[in-house]
This record gives sequence, C-alpha cells and structure tokens, in this order.
Amino acid sequence: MSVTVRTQLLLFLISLSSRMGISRCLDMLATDGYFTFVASRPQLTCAAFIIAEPSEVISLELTDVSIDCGAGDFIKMFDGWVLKGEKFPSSRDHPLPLHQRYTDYCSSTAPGATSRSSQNVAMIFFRIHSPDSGFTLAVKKLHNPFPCNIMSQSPEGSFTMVMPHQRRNCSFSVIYPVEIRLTELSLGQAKSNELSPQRQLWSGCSGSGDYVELLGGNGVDTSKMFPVADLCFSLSGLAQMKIGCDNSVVRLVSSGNYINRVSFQYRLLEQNELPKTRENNLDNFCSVE
Amino acid sequence: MKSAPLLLLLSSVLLSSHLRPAAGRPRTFPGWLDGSGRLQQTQQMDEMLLRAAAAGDSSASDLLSDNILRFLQRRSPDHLHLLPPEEDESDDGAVRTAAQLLKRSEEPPLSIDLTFHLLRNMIQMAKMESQREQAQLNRKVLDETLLEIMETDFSDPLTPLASPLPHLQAHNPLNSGLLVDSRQMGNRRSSCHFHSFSIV
Repeated sequence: MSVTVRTQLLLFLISLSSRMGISRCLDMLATDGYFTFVASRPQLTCAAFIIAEPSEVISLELTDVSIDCGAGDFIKMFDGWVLKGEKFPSSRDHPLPLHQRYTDYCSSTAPGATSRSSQNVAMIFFRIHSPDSGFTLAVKKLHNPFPCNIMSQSPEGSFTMVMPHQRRNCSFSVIYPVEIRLTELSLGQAKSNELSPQRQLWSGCSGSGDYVELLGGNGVDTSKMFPVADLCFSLSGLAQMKIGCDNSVVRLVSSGNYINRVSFQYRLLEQNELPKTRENNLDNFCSVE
Repeated sequence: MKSAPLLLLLSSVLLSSHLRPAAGRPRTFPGWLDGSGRLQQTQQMDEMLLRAAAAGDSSASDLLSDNILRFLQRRSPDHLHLLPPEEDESDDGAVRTAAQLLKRSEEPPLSIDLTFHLLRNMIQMAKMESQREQAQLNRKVLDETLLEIMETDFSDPLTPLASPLPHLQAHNPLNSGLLVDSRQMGNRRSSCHFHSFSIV
C-alpha cells in the first residue's frame, strides 16, 4: 500500500471519533461513544456511572435493546448519581422532582429511550435475566453554559460558578478531602442603601437569600452533609478552609435577585494534613476512607 | 349415622391443619437466617416453599395459589424440574400481576453500595482509559507521519545508516525531540537508538 493511501486510511479511521466499547456490569464511562452490554449470564444488579466535564451535560440514548420487560428485566436512566441510597444532586438542589429524574425503558412508549441530564453526572441501572440479551447506550456530551451541580473528576482544580438571576441551589462536590480556597465571591448588590439588620453570629447566613456554604460529609447527598462554614458577604480577598471529609462541597444558594459568582480552587489534603481523630470529640462529623 | 361423615370431615380438617406448619414459614427463624440479607432471606424462603410444594404437600399448594407458585418457579429456575411445567396462556396475566406485587413489596430502591474509595478508582481508571486511547491515536498519527517523512528522504531504504538522520535532527518540528520506535524501522539497521514517543 502506498504511503498516501495508508495515511488517508488512517485519517479516515481517526475521523470515526466515536468510541465503541463493551460495557461491564459495573462501569464508569467518561467519554462519548457507544457502549454495548450483552449478558453472558443473568445479571441482576448492574449500573453504569457516567461522568463528564463540569461544564457539560450528558445525553443518553438506548438503541438495539433486546431485553424482556415482562420477565423482570429493566433499564432505568437516572438524572444524577445514586450511591448507598443517597442521591446527587439532592432533592433540594435538583430542579426536577424525584420521579421525573428516572426514565424507565420498559415504561416509555417510544421505541427507544432518551434522557438528558441536568448536570455532569448521570447513570443507568439495569437488570437482564436471559443470556445474549443486551442493549447499546449512546453517550453524548453537550455544552452547559451555566453549570449548576457538579461532581469533580479530580481532587485538584479550580472552578467558577455563576448563577445569573436564577433561584437555584448549586453544589460543587469533590469526593476527596480537600483544602478549598475561595478566590472570588460576588453575591450581588443590595437593592437599597439601607443597612441590613445585624445578624446574630449563631444563625449564620441562612437568614439571607444568597450565600455560599462549605459542607463536609460521608455521602453524596448534600442535604445530609454538615455545614463547615458559610459566607454571605462578598469578598475580594482569600478565604480558605480544610475539609477532612470523604466529600467536600461548595454550595451556592441563590434567591434569583442577583447574579452570583463564586471562584475557588481546591487541592487534595495529604495524609498528615487530615484532622486527627480525637476521642469523644463532637467535631468529628465525618471521616476519610 | 349422620355424625360419622361429619366426624370424618372434622378429623381430616384437623389433620390437614396439623400438616400446615410443615409448609408454612416458621415463627422463629433458624440460625442461618438470622443476620442474612433480605435478598438471601427471600430466596431461602422461596426455596423452602417450592421444596414443600414439590414434595406433594397439598397444604402448601393450598397456601400458595397456582399463580404465585408458577411465579416462584420462574424466579428459581433450578427448581423447574420439581413442578409440572404447565404453561397456561390465561394464567400469564395473573402471574404477571402476582410478580409485580411481590416485586414492589420486596425490591429495595435502586442503589449501588460503592465505597468512595472504589468510586474514586473507577473515575481515575475511566479517565486513564480515555487518555490511553487518545495517546494510541496520537502515536499512530505520529508514526505514520514520520514514516512518510523517512520514505521520501531516502532513495534506497535498505541502506544501513552510518550516522543519525540529519533531516530529523535539523528540522525537528517538536522541541522535545522527535524519536521513532525502533520496531517500526523493520529491516533498517541504524546506529542510532530510537525510542517511542507518545503525546498524552
């Protein structure tokens, strides 16, 4: 084969950029592509977690499905992640009610089932009884200009969350113990020049409409995590906090009256930086695996 | 005279009621059931019921209607041979509803019990897999491009090289050094050692 033909063939193969993969019963998918699962034996508890970049959402489509819904097989797509019974994003942070976050292939009337996530994580649960039954899952990533509710793929990085005049709660979750440094926080301007009433120190920021809170916990559900700190005043300097928990979250609560913006960096805590566990200490609300 | 058949009926009812506990669920669980998972428990219950029914215990069949019995038969394919394989079209709908009822009552909400440690590893592996694929793709492009360059530079590709390739070193498009996997060279014998290079 001549060189030019060979190069052309290679370039043609490269242009087929979608990945064809064989999925396992428990899998993590981080790229676009088509993933086929065929059961070699009855598989009753299977799931595939899908994760994208923070500013992307995931579009899922099921094709070539050959399962027997009547025999108890199912494929359910979920808008978020479920881990040990806890959901991310939590019901407080997600725009849809829980039953609308599930798309059941067996219940849908259309020949295929599609689902688009509201954030950069999604997953499917499936159960297949008979061998040689299976399906193909098409994963596509779509750009999201104002990401809200993000699961970070790595323990280090930086991000800016912007919430333009939307009444939403957004959580940025890092499933590692990290040190978080807030580099910029802009919580909108007050409507008038009146002095806001003095808030008592113990009530924190929950009285005001817009604030940022840092949470730590052992699960993925942000509503079950413990607030480590909260900020309701715009700051231009640096604020940093070490959260020695399995899950560290920056959560932006917005009333919809302002454009809120928070920028932060995070890095993994080393073993010697983790808070020492002290006996009989009420502060120990989380642990690190 | 009338009381004799009545007595017979009463005694048969009493006898069959004594038989029932053998096929029914025990009030106190045996040791091996304690502490086991819900799924294991249900499976063991199903097996017990199926075994009792297969043993010809009529009271077990009375306890479980035929429909539910067939549903259990379908759930545990190992016990298929124990029950008569009656496939009745009209019973399928009833079996399905029985199946759905049992499913709803015993199926826990969908969740995977992954630890954070495993989840983190899975994310890292998925990222590495995609990076590896991209690296392989890049390497193929690079190798093909280099081969093209080399083949156009030499008139006789089988001539052994006495010195390193001057073209490659002088017109090096990449600052960090452009090297080719020596295995790709095939029959060419050169005095240089080339190493593979990949973009990650």
